[in-house]
Amino acid sequence: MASTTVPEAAATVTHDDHGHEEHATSYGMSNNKMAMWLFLSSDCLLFGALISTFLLYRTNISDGTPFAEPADVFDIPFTSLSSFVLLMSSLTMVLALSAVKRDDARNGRIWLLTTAFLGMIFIGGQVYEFTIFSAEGLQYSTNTWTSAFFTLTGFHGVHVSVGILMLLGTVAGTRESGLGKEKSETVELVGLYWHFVDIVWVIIFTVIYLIPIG
Amino acid sequence: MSVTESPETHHDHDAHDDHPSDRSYVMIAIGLAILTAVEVLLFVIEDQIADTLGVGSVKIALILLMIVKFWIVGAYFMHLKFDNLILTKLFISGLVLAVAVYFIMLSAFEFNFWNDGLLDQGLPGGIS
Amino acid sequence: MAIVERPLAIGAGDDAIETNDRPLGSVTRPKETGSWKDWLTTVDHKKIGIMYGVAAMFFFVIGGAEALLIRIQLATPNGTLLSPDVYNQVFTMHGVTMIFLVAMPMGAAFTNYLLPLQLGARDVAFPRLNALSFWVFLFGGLFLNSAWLFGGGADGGWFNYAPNSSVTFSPSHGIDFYALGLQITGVASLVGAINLITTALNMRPKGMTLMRMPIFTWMNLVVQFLLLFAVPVISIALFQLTFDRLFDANFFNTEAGADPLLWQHLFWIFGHPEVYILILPSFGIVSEVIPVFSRKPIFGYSFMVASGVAIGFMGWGVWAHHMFVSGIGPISVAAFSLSTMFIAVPTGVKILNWLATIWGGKLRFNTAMLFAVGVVSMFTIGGLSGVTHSVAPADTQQTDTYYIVAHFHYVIFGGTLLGFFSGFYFWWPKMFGYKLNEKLGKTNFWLQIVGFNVTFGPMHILGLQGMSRRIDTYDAGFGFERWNFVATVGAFIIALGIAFFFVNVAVSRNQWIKAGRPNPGPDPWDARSLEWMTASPTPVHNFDEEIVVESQDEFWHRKYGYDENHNVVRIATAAEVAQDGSNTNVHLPSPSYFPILLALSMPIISYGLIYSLWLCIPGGMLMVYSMVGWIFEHPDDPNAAHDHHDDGHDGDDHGALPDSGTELEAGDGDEELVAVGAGAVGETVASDVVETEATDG
Repeated sequence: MASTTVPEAAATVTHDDHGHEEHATSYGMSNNKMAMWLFLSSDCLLFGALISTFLLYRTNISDGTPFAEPADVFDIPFTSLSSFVLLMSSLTMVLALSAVKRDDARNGRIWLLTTAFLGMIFIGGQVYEFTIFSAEGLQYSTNTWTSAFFTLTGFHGVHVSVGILMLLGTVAGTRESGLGKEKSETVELVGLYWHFVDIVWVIIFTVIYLIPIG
Repeated sequence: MSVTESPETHHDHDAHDDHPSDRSYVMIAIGLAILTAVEVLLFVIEDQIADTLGVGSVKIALILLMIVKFWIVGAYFMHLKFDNLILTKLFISGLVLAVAVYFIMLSAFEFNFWNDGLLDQGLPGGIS
Repeated sequence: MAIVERPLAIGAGDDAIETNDRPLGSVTRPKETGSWKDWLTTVDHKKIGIMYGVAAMFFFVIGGAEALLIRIQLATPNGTLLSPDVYNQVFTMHGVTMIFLVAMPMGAAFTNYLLPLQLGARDVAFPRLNALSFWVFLFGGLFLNSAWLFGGGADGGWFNYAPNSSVTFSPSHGIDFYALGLQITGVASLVGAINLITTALNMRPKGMTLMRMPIFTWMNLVVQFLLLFAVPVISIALFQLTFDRLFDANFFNTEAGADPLLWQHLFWIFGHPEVYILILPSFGIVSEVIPVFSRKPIFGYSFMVASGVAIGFMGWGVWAHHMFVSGIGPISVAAFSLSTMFIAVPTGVKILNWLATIWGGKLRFNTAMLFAVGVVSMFTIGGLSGVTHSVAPADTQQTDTYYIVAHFHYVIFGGTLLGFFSGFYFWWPKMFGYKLNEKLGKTNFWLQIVGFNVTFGPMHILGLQGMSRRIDTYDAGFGFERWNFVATVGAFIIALGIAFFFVNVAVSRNQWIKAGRPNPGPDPWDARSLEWMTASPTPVHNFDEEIVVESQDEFWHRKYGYDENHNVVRIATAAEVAQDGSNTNVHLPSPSYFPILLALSMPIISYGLIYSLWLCIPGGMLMVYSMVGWIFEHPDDPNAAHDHHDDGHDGDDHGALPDSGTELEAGDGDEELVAVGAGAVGETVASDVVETEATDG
C-alpha cells in the first residue's frame, strides 16, 4: 500500500491503488465503511417489515385453518443444512478478509470463491424449497401466508444473490490489478454485507422455521 | 484520528491490531455451528419440553440462541467489537428501532384482537 | 439555465492518458466544459442542489395547478369542472406531488447545497451517488406524473389505503405508477441519506465538533436519519402493493383474509417520520435566518439541537394517531394519544427558542426574516391544531374532514414552504451572486401569507361544520358555500404571490445585469455560519483552504470580538475573514455519465413491470451496464484539470470566476492523489471512492 503521510497537520492523505482516498476523517475511518453500516442499519427496517408481515399472516389463512406448526410445512432438516451452509460461508468470508489483509492474494481468492460457492448452495436450496412448495400447491398467490413467505425469503435470496455477484465481481475485478492488501477494504465491505445477510437468515431461520406457533 | 501518526501505524488505524486470528475465527464458527445444532435439537424435542416447561420456554430459548448467534456474528465476524464505537451505535440504532417499531405494530394488532374479544362479550370497546 | 460558453482550460484533458476514461469502451468520461451537458454529468453538490431546487419548483407549479383545479371545483356548490373520478386523481396527485416531489426535494436542494458548505467541506462524501440521488428523484417524479398520459393518475389519496388501492377498486394503472414512482424516489432519498449522514458525521473539518455544527446542518442530519430508517418501511409497503396489483399477491387482499390495517401501519410508520422529514429542514432554515436578522446567537443552541433530535426520536412513536378511527383498539389509541401529546413538547421548545432569539434583538425585517417569522407564527397555529388531534375523541370527530386539511396545510405550507422561501431570499446571493429585490419580495411575502390564511383558515371552520375531505362537490344549503368561496379566492392570492416570486427572480437578475453584475460580497447579511466565509457565488471548490473551527458560529466569531468592557466590537470585515475563492489548485471529483444512466434504467424497468416484462430486459441491461461502468470508472480523473468541470455553476449570471480553471496541476502520476493543494496546507477533499457496495442497495 502506497501509504504516504504528509507530516503537516490535517494534511494526512494516504493513497492506495484502488481509488480509495482517505484523509483524516472525523471518525478516522473511511466514508465507505460508514456508508456501508448505514445501509445495513437501514436494511434492518426493510427486513423487519417483511418479517413482521410474515408473523402477522402466519396463522391468517382465509379458510380459517391455520398452518398448525412450522414443522408441518417446512422440511426442517433440509433447511437446517442450508442454514448451516450459509453460516459457514461467514467463516470463509472472514478467512478471505484475513488472507487479503496478510497480502495473501491466492488464499484470499480461494476463500472468496468458496464463500460465493456456499452462497450458491444456499440459493440452490432455496430454489429447491420453492419448487417443492409450488408442487405442493403453495404458490405465490395461494394465500396470505404464501405471499408473505415467498416475499420474505425471496428478498433474502435476492440479497444473497447480490452478495454472490459482489464476491465474484471482486475476484474478477481484481484479476489484473491483483488482490493485494490495498484491496482489503473492498473485501471488508463485501464481507460486512455478506455477514449481514447471514444474520438476517439467523433471524429468519429461528423466527420463521423453528419457533412453534402454539 | 491519525493526523500525525507515522506511516506504519497510519494504515492500521482502524484498530485492527487485536483482531482475532484465523484460528479463533474457526473456533467461533464451531461455536456457531454448535448453537445451531442446539436450536435444531430444541426444535426436535420441542414436544417433550413443552409438556414439562410449557411451549413458551422453547420460544424463549430459541430467541435467546438467536440473539447470541446474531451478537457473535456482529461482534466478531463483522468486527464491531474492534471497530470505532460509532459503527455499533449506527447499526444498533437501526436494529433497535426496527425491533421496537415492529413489536409495537404487531402488538397493536394483538391488542386489537383482544379488543374484538371484549366487544364479543359486550364490553365497551374501541371507537370503531 | 444556460451556461456561458467559455474557453477550455488550457490543455484540459488534451494530453490525457486514457486510463479509466472509457471503462466499458463506450461511454467516455465527459470532458468538455461550459455546455449544458455539464449539468447532466456534474457531481458538484452545488449544481445538484440547484437542480433539485429547479426540479422541485417545476413540480411545485404542477402541484399548484392541481390545487387550483381543486379549488375551482369547490368554489361553488355542485361544481362541474372535474368529474368525481378526475377529482380523485387530481387531489391524489396534488398531495403526492407536493409531498414527495416538492417539499422533500426542496429540502434536499437546501441540504445538498448548504450542508457541505456549513461544514466547510469540499463536497459530499460520495459525489457520484449524490448525482445519482438527484437523477433518480427526477426520473421517479417524471415517471409518477407520466401516469397522466397513460390513463390517469393515482386516485386513492396520498396515503392510498388498502384495499381501496387494489385492482378491483382502482383498475387503471394510476396506483401502479404511484407505487413504482414512489419506490424510485425512495431510492433517491435512501442513497441521499446515506451520503449526507456520512458527510455530516465523517467529513467535518478540524474543530467542528458535533455540537458546533450549525442548526441547519443538525436538523438535516436528523432528517437524513429519519429518511434512512423510514424509507425502507414504505419501500416494503409499496413492494407489497405492487406485488398485490401486478402479481396477485395477497398482502392486502381482504378476501384471502388479509388485514388492511397492515398497509396503514406500514404507511404511517413511514408517514409520521415523513412529516418531520418535511418540517425539520424548514426549522433549520429558520434557525439560521432568525439569529442573523436579530443579530443575536440562537437562544439555547443545545436545546435546539436536543429538541430536534427528540422530535426525530419521538416521531417514531406516534404513527397510529393517524389511525384513531381505523379500529386499532382502546389501548393503542390511548398509548398513541399520549405519545402524540408529548411530541408537542420539543416542538414547543423550538418555538420558544426562536422567540427568545428575536427577543431584544436588533431586528431587520428583510423578506427572509419576514418569511421566517411567518413560519414561526403559522407553524404554531398548525401545531396547536395538531395537538387537538392527539385527543382521540376530538380526533374521531375531525378525521377526514377539512379540519385535517387545514391542519396539515398550516404545517406543510405554513411551516415547510414558507421556510423554503425564507431560505431562497436568504441564500440567493450565495447561490447566484445577486440579492432578490426586497420590495417585490415583501409583496411576495404578504400576498403569500394573506392568501395562505384566507385559503386554509376557513377550512378549520368547514371541517368542524362537517365538510369531509376529498369530496368532489357539495350541495347548497349545508353552510359550506361562503367559506369554500373564500378559500378559492385565497388560493388564487397564493398563486399571485408565488408568481411574484418568479417575477422577482427575473427582475432582480435583470437589474443586476444592468448594474454591471456587482458582487454582493461574501457576506451580504452579516451572517454567522461557514457558508458565508467564501466568495459569492460559491466558487466551484467551495473553500480555498480548510477552515479550522474554534467555536460555534465560527464565522461570526472571526468578525467580532469583545472590547475591555465586554462589548461586542467588530474586529474584522467579512472580506478580510472570508476566502476569496482564488485557489485553483484544487482537484475536484470528476463528472460522470453513469449516475444519470443508472437513474434512467429505473423508470424503464418500472414501465416494463406495468406494461410488458420484456421492457425490463433493456432496462435491466442499462442498469447493469451503468453499474459496471460506475465501478470501473475512477471517481477522480487524474488527468483532469482542476476546476475543469464545474465553472459557472451559478448559471449564466456571471462570467468566469477570476483565475478559475486556468491553472493546471499536470498529471499527478498517482491517480489516487486527490488533495494536491500546492501551498494550501490541508485540503479537505471529498472522497468519492469505490462505491460498489452502496449502489447495490
